[in-house]
Amino acid sequence: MTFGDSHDWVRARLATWASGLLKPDSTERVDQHLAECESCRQLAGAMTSSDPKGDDRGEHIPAFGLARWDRWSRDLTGLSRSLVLEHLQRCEQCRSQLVTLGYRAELPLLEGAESTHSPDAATRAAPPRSVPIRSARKYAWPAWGALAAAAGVAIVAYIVLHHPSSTSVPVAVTPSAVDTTPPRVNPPPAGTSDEALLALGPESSDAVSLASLVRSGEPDTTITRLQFGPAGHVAFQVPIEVATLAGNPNIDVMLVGKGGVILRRLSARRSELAPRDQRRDLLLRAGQHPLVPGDYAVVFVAKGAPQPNRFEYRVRIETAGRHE
Amino acid sequence: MTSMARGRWASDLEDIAMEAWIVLDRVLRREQARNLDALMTRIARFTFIDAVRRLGHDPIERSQPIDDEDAAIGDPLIGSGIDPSALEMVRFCTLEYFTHHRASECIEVARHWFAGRNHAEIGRLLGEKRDAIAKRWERCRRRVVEAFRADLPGPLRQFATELEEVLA
Repeated sequence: MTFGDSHDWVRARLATWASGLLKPDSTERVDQHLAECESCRQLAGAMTSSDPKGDDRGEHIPAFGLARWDRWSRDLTGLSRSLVLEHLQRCEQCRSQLVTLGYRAELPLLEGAESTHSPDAATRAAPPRSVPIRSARKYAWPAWGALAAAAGVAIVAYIVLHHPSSTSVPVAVTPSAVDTTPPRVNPPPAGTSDEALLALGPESSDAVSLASLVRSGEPDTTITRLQFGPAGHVAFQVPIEVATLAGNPNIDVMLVGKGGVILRRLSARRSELAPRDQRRDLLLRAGQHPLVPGDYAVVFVAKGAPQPNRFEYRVRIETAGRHE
Repeated sequence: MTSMARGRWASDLEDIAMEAWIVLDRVLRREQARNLDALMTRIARFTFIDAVRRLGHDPIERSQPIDDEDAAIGDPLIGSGIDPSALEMVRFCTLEYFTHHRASECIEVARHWFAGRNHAEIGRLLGEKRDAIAKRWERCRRRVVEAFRADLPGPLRQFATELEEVLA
């Protein structure tokens, strides 16, 4: 074996070596080579260097796979596919991350992709046919949920990185306020959107679409169901009707409960809600006044804007928000 | 990431940002961040470099619009032909296989292995002799290698070259 062969032989086995799966004699051979070869040692060091993944190594579905689930999951075959499926059924964390990214937490059923050597064929149920809710590329990407969680406010408009280079900063927020002023019920503006939102990022499992306006004369129309997830709050994207308002009016965003009680209120300029025509996500936190299951309205009122200046969306909360 | 990319891999940046968020979420579930900004920066850098490694590109050669030494990403794996995601996948499959079979004795050692500890270190941590750990791991290794050998050529095919040797 030449020197070059030795390098190639070792480099081809670094992943297996780093996982401890090489035969003992092969492991010894790699170890010996690494002790003598600086360049290969650098490669091995880079491969096994301490990175932020830390102790999670191998514990969850690889992050690069989850991030590209619509494509990556379809390439899975055989035993690795079975193992990913099994992990997904068991691991709430991986499921919630997929949902956060806007995917269904399922593996699409692909003919011929299932392993004939599954770890335990008798216990495996066929996965449901599924498709991603949407392509992750198509929608905005919000900033880190941890920052949003740290904000500690009732309604938070937080960064949406529709473009990774966005330098947006969170919209100023106001704490939860209880107001007993009943909201007016104006006729809705013409035109609706059937866009299936929603927020991306850590709160998107709690996200709700404000895609459809409540129609006049159909006050009981439920357009969206909200589920408070583990984070205890809901996110929704600034509706396009609001984002495209002319000028830069001040806009009140209100969550309205029974009897017209305003449970949450946020005031912001249109340019803050939709900077450079990129709609931000609004984060509705459970806050000090936990929301109980029931029907609510999310109302946007633009002050000083030409008509239409009021947009109302009806939502239903099906599970209670958590106290924070 | 955008500053590191310098206009390169524009179509991949969203995927990479999502990947970085997953890593951040996992880290924050595991431990509290003392300096969130620093953690995010570190994760962004690692994730970006990992992604470039996977892309298998030499960033300098591909970066025609960039004439800037600062654009270089100093990482020995970039351009080496080695895909570090192979390591992540084989580790996941190994642990998951042991989990499925409730092989707790194997999971225990595998986790230490993946954390970069050798037999002696694992033995000290588990209160066992080095040889006992080596024997235990050898039994575990054979189990998972047998399973990989019987598999279809799926994503594990990335390790085919390695596995050929493993299985020889």
